[in-house]
Amino acid sequence: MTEAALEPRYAELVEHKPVERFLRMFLVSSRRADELILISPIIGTLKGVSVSMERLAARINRDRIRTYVITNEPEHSSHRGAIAILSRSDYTEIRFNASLHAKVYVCRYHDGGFALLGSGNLTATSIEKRIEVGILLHSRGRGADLVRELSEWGTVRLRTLSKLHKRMIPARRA
Amino acid sequence: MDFKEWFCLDGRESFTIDAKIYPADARFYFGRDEIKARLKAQIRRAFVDPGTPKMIIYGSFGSGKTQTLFHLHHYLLNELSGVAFKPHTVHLDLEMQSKSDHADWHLQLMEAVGKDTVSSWVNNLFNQVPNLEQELEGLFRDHNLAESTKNLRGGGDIPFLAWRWLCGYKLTASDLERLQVTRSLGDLGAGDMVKALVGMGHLAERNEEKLVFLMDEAEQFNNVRTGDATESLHNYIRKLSEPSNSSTGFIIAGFSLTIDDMPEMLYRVDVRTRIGENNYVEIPPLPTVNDVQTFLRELLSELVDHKRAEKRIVKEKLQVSLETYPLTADAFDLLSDFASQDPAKSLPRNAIRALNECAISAWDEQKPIVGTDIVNEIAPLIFG
Repeated sequence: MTEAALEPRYAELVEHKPVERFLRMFLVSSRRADELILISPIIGTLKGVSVSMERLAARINRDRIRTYVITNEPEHSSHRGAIAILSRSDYTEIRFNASLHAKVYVCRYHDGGFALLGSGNLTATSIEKRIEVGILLHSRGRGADLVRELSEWGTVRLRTLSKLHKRMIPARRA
Repeated sequence: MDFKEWFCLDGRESFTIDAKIYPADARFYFGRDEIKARLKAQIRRAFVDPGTPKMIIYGSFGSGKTQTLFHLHHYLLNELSGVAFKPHTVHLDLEMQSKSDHADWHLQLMEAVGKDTVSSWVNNLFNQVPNLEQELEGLFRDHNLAESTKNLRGGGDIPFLAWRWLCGYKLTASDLERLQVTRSLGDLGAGDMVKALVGMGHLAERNEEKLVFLMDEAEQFNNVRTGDATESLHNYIRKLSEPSNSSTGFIIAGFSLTIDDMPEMLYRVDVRTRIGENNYVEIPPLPTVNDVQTFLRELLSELVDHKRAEKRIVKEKLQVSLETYPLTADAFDLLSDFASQDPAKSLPRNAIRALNECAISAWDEQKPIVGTDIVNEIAPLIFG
């Protein structure tokens, strides 16, 4: 018997490139995610980072993952470029919220998932050049409830406060 | 006007029901009257014979097992009547790894009950009886268990040491001596620890309470890979299921598509015969379109403020009835139809999801009601 049985470790502090860590966890996993939530005031094409926006979008399309993106209205070319890449997918919904400051990333599987709550935007600058920190939550013990609550906050409450830019395009019923 | 006001929601932000996020949602149990009635009847009967509920609930992800557990928790605390004791329910999510064994399970259960609760039971008993030691010996039928439990009333660090002992930690020889016990709990195997748990149940009864564990995520037992660990867990549940345990109840919920898929230790024949076949209850998907409609109708009836909705319907001459608001009758039927097409996806979680998504879509377009156009766009995303 171990102390770990008492309180499974569900949260870890990530001091080195937390956003990249989240993206890698999502991409490396062989499991098909049910849902991906990307909440970041600024989003970039992630050029020069090990995980590019193109690669992220390709995975979303391959696995048909319902993806919710909430960000500020794009002002810079990299932000607009990222929105353009994500907009090409039928499985992404994109919303704008001018008041958004939170950075939250959630990956949900049918039996759990993981989430990152921290300071980093979804940009190459944030990943490569900035000192960022985040808390990575796993669906273990109390972490499961936290991941669930973040998902609910992102996919329901925050969405209804944000302006729809691009909706998901489902297959029409025959 | 925000989203909840737009759809006249009654004190909530969305159409989501989730007792883990909103504890008051435990009172809801929609569209499953037969299962609800069966579970409640079995629980009431169990308090008579064998004396406490022992049940296993299973079903697919999203079928409502967790909501069932929360609802039973609510039922035990707020609605159950005509039983001798007040249920003392302890809700926990199980956590198992590859080498987790009966000691890990025992620790989770004990910590879920909590040292403060057990200490208060001991203190209350002390105030009622002339000889606490004798009383505890009678409840636990084991000197070491009685001694450690008595020590929860001690001074200094003795109560914490006693709690660690009851939780199954291996203590040093000097700590054992301080507690005046001859061995660590669990030295004699899983049965030793079950004896502690059953004794706790008797202690609760002396305080006019009935200890019932509500354990979720039982599929975690599938993480256990070592043979010895699995056998020790099996021994633990087997002994807890014994007819002689009439004091400590459990309702265990976990993912399993059929009874054969559940962790083998839970349905091995010696456990099944002790628990009773009728105490293995499946929470299936919503089987027919009528069931989906009943589920949605009951959900909408609870979540929507009917007074406000009615005012809006009249004021804006909306083509919708109160019964299906904010969906039109056609949209309601269409959504129910979509939801019941594939039995594997006909799950409460998906139905709630689809309802929320349709409402968000209507909100985006500033439409006061959800029509078939929105359902046709959204439902395939959820139900395929």
